[in-house]
Amino acid sequence: MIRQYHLHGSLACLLMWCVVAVITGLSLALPATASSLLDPQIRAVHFDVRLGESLRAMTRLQAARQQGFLDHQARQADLLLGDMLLQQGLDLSAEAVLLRVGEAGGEQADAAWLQLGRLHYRRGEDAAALAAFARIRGPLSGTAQQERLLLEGELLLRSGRLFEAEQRLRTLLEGRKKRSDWVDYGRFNLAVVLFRSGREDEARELLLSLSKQNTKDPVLRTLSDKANLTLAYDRLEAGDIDAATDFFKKGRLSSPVSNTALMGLGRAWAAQEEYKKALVPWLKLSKRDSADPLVQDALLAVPYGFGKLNAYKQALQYYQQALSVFELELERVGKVEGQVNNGDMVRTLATGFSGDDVLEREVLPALPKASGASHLWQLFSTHEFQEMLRSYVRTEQSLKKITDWTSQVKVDDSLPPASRAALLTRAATLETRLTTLSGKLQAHMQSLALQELAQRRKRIQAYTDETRFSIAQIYDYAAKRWGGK
Amino acid sequence: MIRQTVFSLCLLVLAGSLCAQERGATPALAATQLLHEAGQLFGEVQELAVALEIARQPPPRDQLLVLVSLLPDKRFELEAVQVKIDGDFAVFHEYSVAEIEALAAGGAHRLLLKHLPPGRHELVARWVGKAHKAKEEEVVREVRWAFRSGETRRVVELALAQGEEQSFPRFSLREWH
Repeated sequence: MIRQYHLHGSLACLLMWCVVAVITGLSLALPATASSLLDPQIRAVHFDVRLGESLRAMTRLQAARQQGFLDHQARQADLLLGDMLLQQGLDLSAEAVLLRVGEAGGEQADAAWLQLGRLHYRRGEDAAALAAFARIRGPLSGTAQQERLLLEGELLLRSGRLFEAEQRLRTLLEGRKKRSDWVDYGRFNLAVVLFRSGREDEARELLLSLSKQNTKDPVLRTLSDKANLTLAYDRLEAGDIDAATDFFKKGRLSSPVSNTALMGLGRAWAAQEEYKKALVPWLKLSKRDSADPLVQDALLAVPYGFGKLNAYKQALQYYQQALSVFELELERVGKVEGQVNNGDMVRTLATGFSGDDVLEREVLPALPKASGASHLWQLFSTHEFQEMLRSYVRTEQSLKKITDWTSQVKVDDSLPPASRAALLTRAATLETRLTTLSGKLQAHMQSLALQELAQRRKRIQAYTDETRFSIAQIYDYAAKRWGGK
Repeated sequence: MIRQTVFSLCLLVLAGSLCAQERGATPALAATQLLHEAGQLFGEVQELAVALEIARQPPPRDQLLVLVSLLPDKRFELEAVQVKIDGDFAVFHEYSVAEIEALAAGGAHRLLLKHLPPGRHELVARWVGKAHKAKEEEVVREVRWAFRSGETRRVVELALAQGEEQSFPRFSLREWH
């Protein structure tokens, strides 16, 4: 009964992996043929962006719009401004500007609705994202259309509108002969839709086509690994252990899902009472980073396997080894709690960002070097935590900016005294509010980390207790069977 | 007994760890509020940057903004642009490879933003570069423009374009309204 529950749980969890779309940079490339039609003040923004002066360009564009200098090309200017505000992480301002463009209609409207859809998608506002995509009137060009279909497909899938999700994803896949990340993601997601719709044969066929990819392309390799793992759990659920084993073996040992695959492969062998074979992947997994819960599972699965082979001496040895690892892990968790409490964790993570990285939504700081990275990577990889961290870093950067501006304004004789005083007052107010915000963000991240660590501690403590109990049972069994010998 | 206990534990824990990925998907309300507050504050910081930019600019009606653009043309390689106003040197800018590439991609270079006293003025723009078919000789082209300031903001584009049916690129000054 437990096994049945688990197997369903595993496949269900894997089917949550409808591939998350990567929202990449925004297209600021200006076609040369359009240039003479655009006001040169708008083209100046493109010039500065190409030379790496995005923030300066955006500030000038905003200043021009605010003073009404670009009213004759307001939609073009606002679409560009919306893109830039998004790039600079100023989502709220971007939303207002892009809404203005979208509602105004015209040639720029579709591009604005696409950007708004992406913005809501990224923030997890599914209904608003779908509503924005629905406002797009004409088909978008090239990859923009592919991206829209993939995102819409994923949003509809998440909201359980499987028929519509399938329609979008099929449109994405239709007639695409050229390789594209969007289309490859679409194939995986369509398989997920079909699985959930109960059309498992069609889903398997799609996953098989991904599984058979023999490529060096990292996106395809990762999708192939996920397809193999999903097929493996599907076969495991169907009781086809041999096929499950084959799919588990196809996964790369270095892939992001390899720990799950190793555990699953061991379980597939164990289900066939092939404990010697099950021990191979479990032993391999048990030697990996012991902060990973799957590795901790393997530390218990190994002595279990030996026990099944009546090798109680080895079982005892591996239980004792597991006990040492768990005790060490508890110590490590304590140390990480200390680093969280004294602020080291947030400081290390914040310094992991370099320059404008904080604006790149796909860039993570150097996690492996960060304090507690191996215990907290799951937390670090959540959208919530990443946004907190980015905001924290941006708060610090904003405080530096304010300090610089304040110094400049104080010595700028060209500014009228009233204007200078007003700017200095605004700067001082913002400085105070930013300092308060920085403290709140740090406290929130620390609180999240401590909650996660408390759960880890509880879990490892349970494992430790269970291991001690199993060791005692082996001693008890030995005493009863062999007495004092 | 031992086996049963451990195996059950393994299964439950594995199921838990796999499903743990879903846990962080929905941000807590407190986090959402905090991030909203941060977003608003960053917007206000940018508004201050804009206010500073506007405060540093001359009053709109006294402004002269000069921008440079070009359409790629193999016949002429732009090296620099110079602007004189009322006979006085205003700006000289030598273009780097990266800047030429940015111009060729459709960008425009903001060459000069100047505060001019109200009245009549004359602007002389000079393009300096090499004409490849003219044995690498330096080529200088000049355009003159007379205008009044103090009434409205003046925005001009110094454009270097491939003139239709012309043997040489066209150098022009275009005012934008």
